[in-house]
Amino acid sequence: MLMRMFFACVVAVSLAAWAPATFQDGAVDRAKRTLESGIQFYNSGDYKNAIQDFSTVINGYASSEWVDEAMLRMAIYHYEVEHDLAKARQMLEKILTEQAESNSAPDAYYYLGLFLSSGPVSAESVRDGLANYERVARLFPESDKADDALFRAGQINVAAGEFEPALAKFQRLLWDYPESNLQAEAQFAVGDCHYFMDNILQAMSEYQQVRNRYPEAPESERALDRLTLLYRLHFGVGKGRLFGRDTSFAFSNREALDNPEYLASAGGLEVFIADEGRSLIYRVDGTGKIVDRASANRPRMVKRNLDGTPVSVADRRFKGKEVMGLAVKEGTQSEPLVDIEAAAVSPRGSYYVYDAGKVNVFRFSPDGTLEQTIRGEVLREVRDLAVDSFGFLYVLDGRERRLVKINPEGRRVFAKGPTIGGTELREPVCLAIDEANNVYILDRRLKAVFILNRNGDPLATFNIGDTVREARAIAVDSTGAILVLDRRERAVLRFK
Amino acid sequence: MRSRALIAATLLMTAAAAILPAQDIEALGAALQAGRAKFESFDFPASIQLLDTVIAPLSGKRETTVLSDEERTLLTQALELRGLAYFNSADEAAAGRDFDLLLTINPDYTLSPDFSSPLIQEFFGNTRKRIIGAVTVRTEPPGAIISIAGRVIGTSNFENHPIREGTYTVRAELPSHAPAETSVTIYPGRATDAVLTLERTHASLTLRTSPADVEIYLDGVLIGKSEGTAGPDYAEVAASAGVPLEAISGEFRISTLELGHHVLEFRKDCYEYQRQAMAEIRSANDYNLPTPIVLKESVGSLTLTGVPASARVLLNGDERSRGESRFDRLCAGQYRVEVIAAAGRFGSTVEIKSGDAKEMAVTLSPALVFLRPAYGALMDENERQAAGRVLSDVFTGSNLFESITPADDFYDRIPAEMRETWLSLGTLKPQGDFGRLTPEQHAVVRYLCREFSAGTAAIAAFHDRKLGVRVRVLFFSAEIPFYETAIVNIDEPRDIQRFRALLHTGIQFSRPWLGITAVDTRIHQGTVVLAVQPGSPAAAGTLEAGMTIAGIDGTPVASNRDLITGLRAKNPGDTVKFDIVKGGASSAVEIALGTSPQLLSLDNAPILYLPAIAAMQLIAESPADADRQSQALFNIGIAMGHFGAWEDAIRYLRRVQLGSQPGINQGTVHYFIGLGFEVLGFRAEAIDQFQQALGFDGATLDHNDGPLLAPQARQRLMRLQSAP
Repeated sequence: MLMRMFFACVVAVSLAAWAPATFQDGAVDRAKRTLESGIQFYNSGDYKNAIQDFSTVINGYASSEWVDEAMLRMAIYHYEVEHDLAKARQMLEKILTEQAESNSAPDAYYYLGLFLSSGPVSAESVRDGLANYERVARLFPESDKADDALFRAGQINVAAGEFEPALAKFQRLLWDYPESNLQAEAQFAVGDCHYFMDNILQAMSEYQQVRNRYPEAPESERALDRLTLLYRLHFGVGKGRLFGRDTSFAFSNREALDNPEYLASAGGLEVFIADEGRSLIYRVDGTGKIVDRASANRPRMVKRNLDGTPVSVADRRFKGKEVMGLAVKEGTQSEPLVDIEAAAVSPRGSYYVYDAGKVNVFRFSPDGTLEQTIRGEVLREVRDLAVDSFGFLYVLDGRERRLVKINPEGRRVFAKGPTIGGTELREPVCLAIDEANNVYILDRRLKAVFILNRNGDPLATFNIGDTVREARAIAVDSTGAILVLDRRERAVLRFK
Repeated sequence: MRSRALIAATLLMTAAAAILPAQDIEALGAALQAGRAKFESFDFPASIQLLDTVIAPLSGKRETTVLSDEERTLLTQALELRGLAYFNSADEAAAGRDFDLLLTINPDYTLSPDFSSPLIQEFFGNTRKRIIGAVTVRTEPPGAIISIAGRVIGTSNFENHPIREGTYTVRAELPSHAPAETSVTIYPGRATDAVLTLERTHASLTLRTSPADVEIYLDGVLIGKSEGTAGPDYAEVAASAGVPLEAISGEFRISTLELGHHVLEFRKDCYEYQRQAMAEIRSANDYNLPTPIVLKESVGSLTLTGVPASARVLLNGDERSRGESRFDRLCAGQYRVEVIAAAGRFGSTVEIKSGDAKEMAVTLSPALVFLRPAYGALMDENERQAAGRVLSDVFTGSNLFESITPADDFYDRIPAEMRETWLSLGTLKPQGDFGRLTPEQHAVVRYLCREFSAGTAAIAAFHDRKLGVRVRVLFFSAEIPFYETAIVNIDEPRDIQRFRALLHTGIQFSRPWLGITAVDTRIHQGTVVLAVQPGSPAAAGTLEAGMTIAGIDGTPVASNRDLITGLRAKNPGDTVKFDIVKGGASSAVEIALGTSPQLLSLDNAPILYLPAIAAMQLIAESPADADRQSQALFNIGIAMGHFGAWEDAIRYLRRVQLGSQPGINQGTVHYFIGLGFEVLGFRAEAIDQFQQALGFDGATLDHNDGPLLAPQARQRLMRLQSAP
């Protein structure tokens, strides 16, 4: 979507640039008109005629001033329509070798950065993408893509845990591109960087700057959520009651719910409720009102997909909108999963699935290809899985009553438990991760929520108390408010 | 005296009205000389002919008006010569007519012995006897101005004044007296007496002043000035009055003092004004003030402080001194004080009263000279002129500068060898907002700034009229070789308004300081305090982390922005009431806001950096306030960094001395010096500065409540240390 928006931008800019040109008959003008024709075909979805026109400009008017633009269009076609990264890359690199002085050179670096770092690509490819983004900002600081490239490069740094260079890029965007429409996002990202570097106070100051400087931007509301969340965890503790029942939220619907099993954040203030008895997944808004429902076959768990849709663990199969044929391929044999207990979605759209029968956690790509197998004795009784924004996997081991953090390469980062913050876990059943990557563990027996930061340090413990009869699952919304599913009462309560 | 002057003036005016042109007088003189030459060569007919050309116009003129002295002399000499010529030609009748007229004009006339024989003398004497008598005039009192037939003859009394036979009116005029007239008939060869008695109508007053040269006003009208010095005969009076004799003027006489009430006023610069109401004058006598009118000296002193050593100090437009100045004997009155320094000006008006010892602290305003050359082939001269007027208006009244618009001939003041470079300035077109000048161009800028005593020069380059008249205004600085631009569309009032605002934006060195970090949350109604800076006004005012600020001076605070808006409306030192919520309980606290330094932004602040440098330069040079001086130096450094002139920036930053208190402190200074070294490629020096910056806890950027610099300093340090 974002990419399409950029392409549309390129078209608009290019056409605007041509508009005042004087009509001149001749090869140059024919090249220009052919390119325009190709862009029109492309925008209308007639790719065949589009690439024919682009090829005509590239091959027939190789010395014209429009050839670099045509090559750029062709590269975009290879990537967007043919999904052929290699061909797209080849074309972009051709621009950079044959048309290095052309106006399309910064665009070529930019799209190389975009293509190499987007989607299910290797870490090496992402590094290549980062290098190309950095080239845009370094070699073509006046380019209209320089701010975008800086921002995306910063995001790649953040995803890799490289907060210092990320911060430098976001700061540079703020300083050098004051007119950029990415200012608010960059300011928010500056806050993120400080947060992840554990400069909590500075981070909160930066988030507040989002609100002060860009009050109309969507990031202003996000900043308010984040400030609320961080205040609650870092400044609210010991300053009075950490969480109180939010009476403005009321979801107690015995008619709608039969056997609710799981609760997950649906983004913002919304939550998904998985009802195994009714074979439904509800989407409930911030006031407790059901705003959507989707059928699912006896769902026992629900997670939020990258596109915001629910993904459920149902009837021992992992199910999204459509049943996916996930299978473990060993050698030449594909073997279906047998006993799915838990699942999670990574920030790149991959699926982590725990198969109790095979006693492994498998990672599948968004299209169902097995990417990784995580083995280990700690994974024998996995109750829940969760993935943070950096792709770190958190495994809730019910048998050992521990939280295990595993990095994207499958190596263990830490294991916390069974004692957390001086209290021993009794029956941990559910995990949640908030937008600041703090981890929440629900202990059904203790009726308590243990909150840890991403390093596993305990931040707080929230005792739910007797208002909930059987706490089955929890979710955390964007403000850090905790929603608790009371299976016995078939109700969801919100604590803020 | 007055009457005589009046008469003389009248005569002069009348003469002036009918006087012959100079070339005519010269021609008449030449004709007289020619006539004289012919006479000397015994060619009497030719002499008469030439003299006719002199006598005819002058005698004709005499019939209708009064001749000037020169004309009169010409006429009498011509009549004498022609009379002699006629006599020598045996035409005694004609000679008699000429001598008759000659004696009528001047009854005392005597013939020149060079040309006249005893025979002619006898003939002339007979003519005189036949027509000339005399008058003897006596008046009571004597001393009156006597005029006969409208012509002033002399001062009475006199005897036997020759006059042609006839009947005349004799008029006597004497100050303080009513004029008197009498008619006399003059007979040839006899003296006639004219006796006149003048009636006294006015009193007179004689006075002296100390000092002399005092203007004296009678009933509001200036009647004269006391002059001279008193003689030894006045020594006794002077001694009894306690005034040195040499300080007393000569007599000043008011001769025509009407009966009744009068007011005398005495004025002299640097002396106190005196006004005296006289007792009623009931009789027309001579009065004499027994003691001198003594005016008291009226001076004060004025000391000007804060004047740069080389600055010129002007009082009422006259240059009086340079540098810090003290004027000890300054006459009381209003003064326009102007100080003109290399980079700025000061102007103020001060009233000095007698005995004042005033001090005036001079705060120079940076001067901006607005030169308005018109470039751009797309505009005609009228459009350029109109645009220049609009811009002049915008520049006028700036609170940041004293704007000087030079006279139209300023171009002539530019040395010839600089003119070509000067013209090139108007064609500068930067890629962004600013660009660098060549050394030659900067030399011209420095010359202009020095010439106009301005720190900044602005010129307007008219370059476009596609969508209205767009003017690129270029700013130059005497300090650094860069120029800065602003585009204004002078056909667009809103754009002019924007430019005016940009130009008149002052530089904020300080801002009110509370000393808290506060944020918005969805939990709080207001903005919640996260941290309070130790030593800050907030800490002193018992604000604590966890408190929610819900109002400021009665205005609700719903968010952090509301708090910032409320604080921005305050001044450092203001006491502000905050509505506080803590643990559900509401209360109010009053806190006196402190002062936080305010640093410029390195980039894209809504100011003009070059004029700002000029403004700050003056503050930096002022020794009055060390804190403000440091803040100015700091901001000059940052402004220079904005242009990439980091060598100069570091030079200024190194002069900044701040403490180690949390907020903007010496660590902040090290950070910016580090930035400069980093940009200049001095890696080791940059690392050293960033390390020093990190040694100052709580150092911030922007202002005391600004972001901590430590994360950014660490980041830069890491990058430098990891670079190959």
